[in-house]
Amino acid sequence: MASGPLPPYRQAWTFRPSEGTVSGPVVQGGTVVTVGTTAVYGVDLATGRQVWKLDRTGGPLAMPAVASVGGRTVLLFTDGTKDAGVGLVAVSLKDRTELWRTALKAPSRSGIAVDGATAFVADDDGNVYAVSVSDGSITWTAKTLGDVLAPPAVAGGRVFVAGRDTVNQRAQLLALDEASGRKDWEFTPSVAGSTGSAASVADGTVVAGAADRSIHAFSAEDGTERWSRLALSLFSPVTAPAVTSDGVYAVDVSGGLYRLDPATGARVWDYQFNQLVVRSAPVVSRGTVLVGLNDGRLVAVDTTSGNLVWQSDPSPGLIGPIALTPNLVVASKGGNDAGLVAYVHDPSATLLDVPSPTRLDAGRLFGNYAIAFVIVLALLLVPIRLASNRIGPPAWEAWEGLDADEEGEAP
Amino acid sequence: MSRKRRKGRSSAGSHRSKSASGAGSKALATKEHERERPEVPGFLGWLSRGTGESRLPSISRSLGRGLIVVGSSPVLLLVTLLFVLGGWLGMVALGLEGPAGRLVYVTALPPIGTYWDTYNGVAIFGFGVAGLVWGAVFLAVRALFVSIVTGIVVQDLEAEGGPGGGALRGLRAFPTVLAVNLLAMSLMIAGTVILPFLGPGLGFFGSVAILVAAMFFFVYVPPAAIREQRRLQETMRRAARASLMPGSRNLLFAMLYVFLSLPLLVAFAPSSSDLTVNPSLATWVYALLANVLHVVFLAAFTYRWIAGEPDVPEQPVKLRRR
Repeated sequence: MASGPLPPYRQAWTFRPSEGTVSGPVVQGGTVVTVGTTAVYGVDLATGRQVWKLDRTGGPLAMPAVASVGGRTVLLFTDGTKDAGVGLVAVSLKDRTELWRTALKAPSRSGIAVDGATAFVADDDGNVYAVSVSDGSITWTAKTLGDVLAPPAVAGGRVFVAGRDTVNQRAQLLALDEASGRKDWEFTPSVAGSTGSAASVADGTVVAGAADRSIHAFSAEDGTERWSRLALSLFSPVTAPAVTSDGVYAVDVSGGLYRLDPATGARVWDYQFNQLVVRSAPVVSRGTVLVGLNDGRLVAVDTTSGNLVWQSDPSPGLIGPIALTPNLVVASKGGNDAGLVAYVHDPSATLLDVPSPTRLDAGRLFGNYAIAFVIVLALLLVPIRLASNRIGPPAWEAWEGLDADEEGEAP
Repeated sequence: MSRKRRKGRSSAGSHRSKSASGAGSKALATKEHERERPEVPGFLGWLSRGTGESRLPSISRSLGRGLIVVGSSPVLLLVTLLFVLGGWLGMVALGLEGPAGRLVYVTALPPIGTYWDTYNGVAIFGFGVAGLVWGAVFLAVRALFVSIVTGIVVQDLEAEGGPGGGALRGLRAFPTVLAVNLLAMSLMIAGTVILPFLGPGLGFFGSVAILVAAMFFFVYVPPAAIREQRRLQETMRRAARASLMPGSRNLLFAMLYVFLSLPLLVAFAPSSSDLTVNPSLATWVYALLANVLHVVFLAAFTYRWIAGEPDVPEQPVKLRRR
């Protein structure tokens, strides 16, 4: 797992291509690579300036990938629309010459995963491809039940793909044999819905959020469920949990960040940001977990205490996928100033220590309640007085008043 | 007038038995009815005027009486306000993490409150059996609250005994109130399964119709159970017949409560969607006022039942052919 700078941060640079929104960034050497609708951009990691640009015919924005084959560094990205034809493209990162282009059956927004000399990509029709990075030949294809919106996870000789069928409201976590593409096992939640997260895998355990609002952990080998833990909301299909040796970090769409025990699934802590998280998966680095929120904030939470230790100022447009370098946190940014934004450690800034609003603060809770209690009693006096003047004294007095009327005692 | 004299009169016309709920109450209710009509103000006429066909007090008078009953009873106010805090603490202890805006539903009458119960069950324990079972547990606690508070309101309206006695009377009606709550919950669950097949438009109207219908037919069950102490089935029949009494504007009253409490109360709640277990001062003030409003409605419906109880037919009313 990549290691980034420690918080607090300050903004180092921004990269704003004229076309606006770009994909999540990939860092290779001193260059950040990101995919826009009309071009693929190479950005200088130190300054944020564009150093090269590669034309693209269009199609969905999806994470590119970098692979090394035969001493050559290869950039992989998907290109094209349904009408113009879709392909997985490989270019030499050194001189940007196209090495090969392999046709895909449908537009792809999954992003690309690489393991050794094989790239794995999926398309909107649910086709999963294993492609040789050397020559672009397709090693095998497999089929999930619907579109795939995040890169497959690859480990231990298996490829894990989260597919979804939005028409029939079904989701599927599929484990494929990495060599042959044969299905090893699958998981489909019992609850109808297509809002599961992407999958992550580490130490023989696959972790993914499902439409039943639970984070599930499975044995990577046979799909046996090891544990599941309820979250407060559903999961974005473009985000995947982060798995480390001491914690599983997952984020739900309503802005809940959870740290779970990787062995038991027990919730260690959670932080509710009360802000949507749609495109950003949690990234763990040096005791801090980073997440991008839809209100434009990049937030950092201490992995031990679960408290917020740093946050950027909110701005229009969400913070999307995050990439780390030893000195920089680079994230894609949406909104009017869409592009990339990079943060660097700021030694002059101070760290925060803000607990989640879902952690009980007895003093605040009871204090606010007590003051509200008094205010409400005072506020009620007015309408009660008005009603009493109009209708009469409390009800049992009114019953008596009727008798009094009869007896001529009424005022 | 002395308290002793009041008590003496009330006990002479005790409302606890069937016979007492007949002649004594009828006489009093008739007097109140006659006394009220000339005083009906013109403001918001559709709320404040009766139709002339029913002896039931107008909607505005019922709400006014409900407010007076609740506001003049420190026990009712305390029970209500403390139940909101207790309900919130209990839910937080079980794992609820908000949103705080839902506090406005803690004392909501069924079937509105049933939403709060099922939401909490599912939010804390997830979809499936555990969520539903816990939702039913929360619903039972609400039924207990409604029973006890209705008992105290009845006791206050009858001007007989203290709140402790009212609470005991309410407890005796708890099984009936619980059964009706469970029925409302079953209707809602059935609705969520069936109504999606009707599409988003018709399905939405269907779900609103279920809420209004459950409110309309079940709202008089608690006071009826407390005052008449009949079997569940008979109590439900009597409550439904009371709602169907011509000229009562019970449907309008039920709809007013449903639309006021379901969309409006939450829509205007401060930070209503924020997940937090530490509500802000503004949220607490709003939530406590909203919950007092629920109990005011409960008292208003109870008052209406007592006023109209003598006229509720023992047998089903046959529709007149025109």
